[in-house]
Amino acid sequence: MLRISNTTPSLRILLAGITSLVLSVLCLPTRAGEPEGDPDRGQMLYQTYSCYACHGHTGETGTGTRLNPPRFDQATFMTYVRNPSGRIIRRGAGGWMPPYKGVSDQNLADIYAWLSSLPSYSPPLEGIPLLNMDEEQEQNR
Amino acid sequence: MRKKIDKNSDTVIIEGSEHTLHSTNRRGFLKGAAAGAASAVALPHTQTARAAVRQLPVAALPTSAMVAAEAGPSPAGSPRIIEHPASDYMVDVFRSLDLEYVATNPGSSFKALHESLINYGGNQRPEILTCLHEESAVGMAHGYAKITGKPMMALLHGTVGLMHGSMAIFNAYADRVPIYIVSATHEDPAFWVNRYHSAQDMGALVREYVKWDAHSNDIHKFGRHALHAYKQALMPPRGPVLLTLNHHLQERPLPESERPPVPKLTLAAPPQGDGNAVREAARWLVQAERPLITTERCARTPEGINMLVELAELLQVPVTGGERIDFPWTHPLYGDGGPDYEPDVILGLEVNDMAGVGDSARKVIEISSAQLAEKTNILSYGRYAEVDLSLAADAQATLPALIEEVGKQLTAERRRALQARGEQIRTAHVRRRRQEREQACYGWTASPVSTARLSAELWAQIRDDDWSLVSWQGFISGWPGKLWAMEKQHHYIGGYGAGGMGYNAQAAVGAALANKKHGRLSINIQGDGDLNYAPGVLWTAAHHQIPLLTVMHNNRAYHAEVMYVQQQCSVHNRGHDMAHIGTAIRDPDIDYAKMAQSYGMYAEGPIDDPAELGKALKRGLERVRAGEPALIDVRTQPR
Repeated sequence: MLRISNTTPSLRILLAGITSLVLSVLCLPTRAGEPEGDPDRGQMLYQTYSCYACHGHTGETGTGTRLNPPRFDQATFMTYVRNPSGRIIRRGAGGWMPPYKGVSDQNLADIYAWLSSLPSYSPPLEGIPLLNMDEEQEQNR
Repeated sequence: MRKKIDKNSDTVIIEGSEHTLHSTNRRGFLKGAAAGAASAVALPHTQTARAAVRQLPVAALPTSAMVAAEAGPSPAGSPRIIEHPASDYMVDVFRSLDLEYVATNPGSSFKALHESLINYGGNQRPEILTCLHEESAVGMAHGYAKITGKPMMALLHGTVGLMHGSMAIFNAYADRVPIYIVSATHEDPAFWVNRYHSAQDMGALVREYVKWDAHSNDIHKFGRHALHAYKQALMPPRGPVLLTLNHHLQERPLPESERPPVPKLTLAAPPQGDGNAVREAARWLVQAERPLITTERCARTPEGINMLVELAELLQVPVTGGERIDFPWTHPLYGDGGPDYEPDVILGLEVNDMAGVGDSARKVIEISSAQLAEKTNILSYGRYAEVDLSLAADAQATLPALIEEVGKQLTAERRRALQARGEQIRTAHVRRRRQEREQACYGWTASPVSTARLSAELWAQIRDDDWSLVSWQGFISGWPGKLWAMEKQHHYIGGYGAGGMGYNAQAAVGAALANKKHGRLSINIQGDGDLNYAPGVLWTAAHHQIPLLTVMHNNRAYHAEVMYVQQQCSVHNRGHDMAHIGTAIRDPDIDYAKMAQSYGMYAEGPIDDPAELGKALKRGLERVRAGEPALIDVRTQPR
């Protein structure tokens, strides 16, 4: 059995590189054969399908789970939107989100591309003085 | 017109008007009048040369009787003058109820009462509030009562006024808020429109959602009807009441000597829970390992909050419920005890629907006055709940006995043991409050403005005032409750009651009016859909100088319906892109700043950039602190 401790430093470097490459391929948002999304079209579709209604206009607010940044890859996203059974998201609004079975692969890819392109509009709590005004009082309750 | 002189007949002829006039002589002409074509001039029979001239009709001269009637004194006892109408007496009766205001949209069926309020009553106690819709009149009374704990009068014209107001009446009924509604009707109307505005049984239009109603057609019964209605409005479960007046009853003469005395008002003490049941409830709560108190409308007065704090601290029990401020939301015991706290005994205080709360693993106690006065056509009375102990009583009135019993049954050892539970609940409370602030960060810098950002920006500017949130926070995801220090009864007045849209703007103005004399800063976070039902209430706020800051939660839709219809499109697997039809309020976008300005108040917007929000709110608050209403239109995230 190959043990890392029995390998030479150069072999360890090679193994680390191969492992890293495999992992990055597995974690790619899109894989070969999946449609390439158009973020501009995706923004329009996000509004048209009323995704904003539950997930907010930037995918960060509302009654639905946060979509910005996306939590999983495109294929998983497409599967979930068509059948939001809640099995994938353990504690989410999966039970409330309706299925979008009839939406095409390309449209879902476009929406995913747009969500992936969004910057974060959510600074950390420590960076927002308005939300820390009462910190001391809250701690001393 | 042209005049010429006929030298043969020594007459003056005036031509060019509709008729050609002749005067007997020039001097007579100069002395008399010849004005216009309608004048009748007696022509002498000697005028024969003007055969083509048309003879004007001659008015009969008035008789001496006619002259006397026009010029002499009026005959005694003229029926057109009634110096002591019965409606004056009605004002005296209403005054005995200490009604501060009467909100109304005017109508002929109560014109006599209206005049008596203004002139006999001097428009004081009650003072007339001019409303542009009867729903606004009742809606204002709803908000007013939630601050003051006592009713305002809403005066509604006939069938049409009562029907207009009925949505707001139902909201108040479901919300258990007292409103004193007076309507009026014509008895046997000859004028065609009055027939549509009159009914034999006015109460039938709203009987399903008023506590009590009476039709007063006898002045000797009127006083007792008026006081009985007021007493019922304030007796738990509280609610709207209706008194209908006949039109003729108001206008009939009623000299001082014939006036019935104004009856004495005696309010009923609220019903307290049965002693044995209270003792049993106390025993269960003391012995429970993880009790929980849940409330909806327990505290009718600020004293109710203090009593619930005393009970919760005795038992070291978490208290939950967001309909009103029954318990300070910043208290360490406020909350559900945390995700691992599975209650084994639940006490519900004035909770409308306890069904589904209990199961075999826990005991459930309900104390509710709503059971004493249920109506059943509309399903607002809630489902039958399989509780273990039920007290048909007013919760606040029962608290003193419950606190006393708990105090008797708690041993010193038990009190020590409960401290550990209290500490656990406090830790969960602090953790939850921090998590809520962390969640408020999401979308903080996004446009449209996040509802968390909107709430936080407001809080930064009002936290040092004696403030009052006079709007429902459900549509903005409860952010004020999570970020503000909700501790006093007037800090939050709750929601719609029956969920009938249009309530919010109207109740906000009524509550702000009640807050005015206390110098409180009233804040209304206003949904766009709700405002459009009866936006004229903004004018009422401007006209009566009611200080109120309205901040629009402008998501440009009936947003709940956007989600519902989208859900249906998806479930039916078609038209996923069609849910905006019939639900969106855009194309064109409504300019709420212009709307408010047109009603006479300061307004600005729309604000899209969260970085601009604080400055805009500051400008609006300057106006409100100076005693005026103001509106800031903010385009927001949907929820």
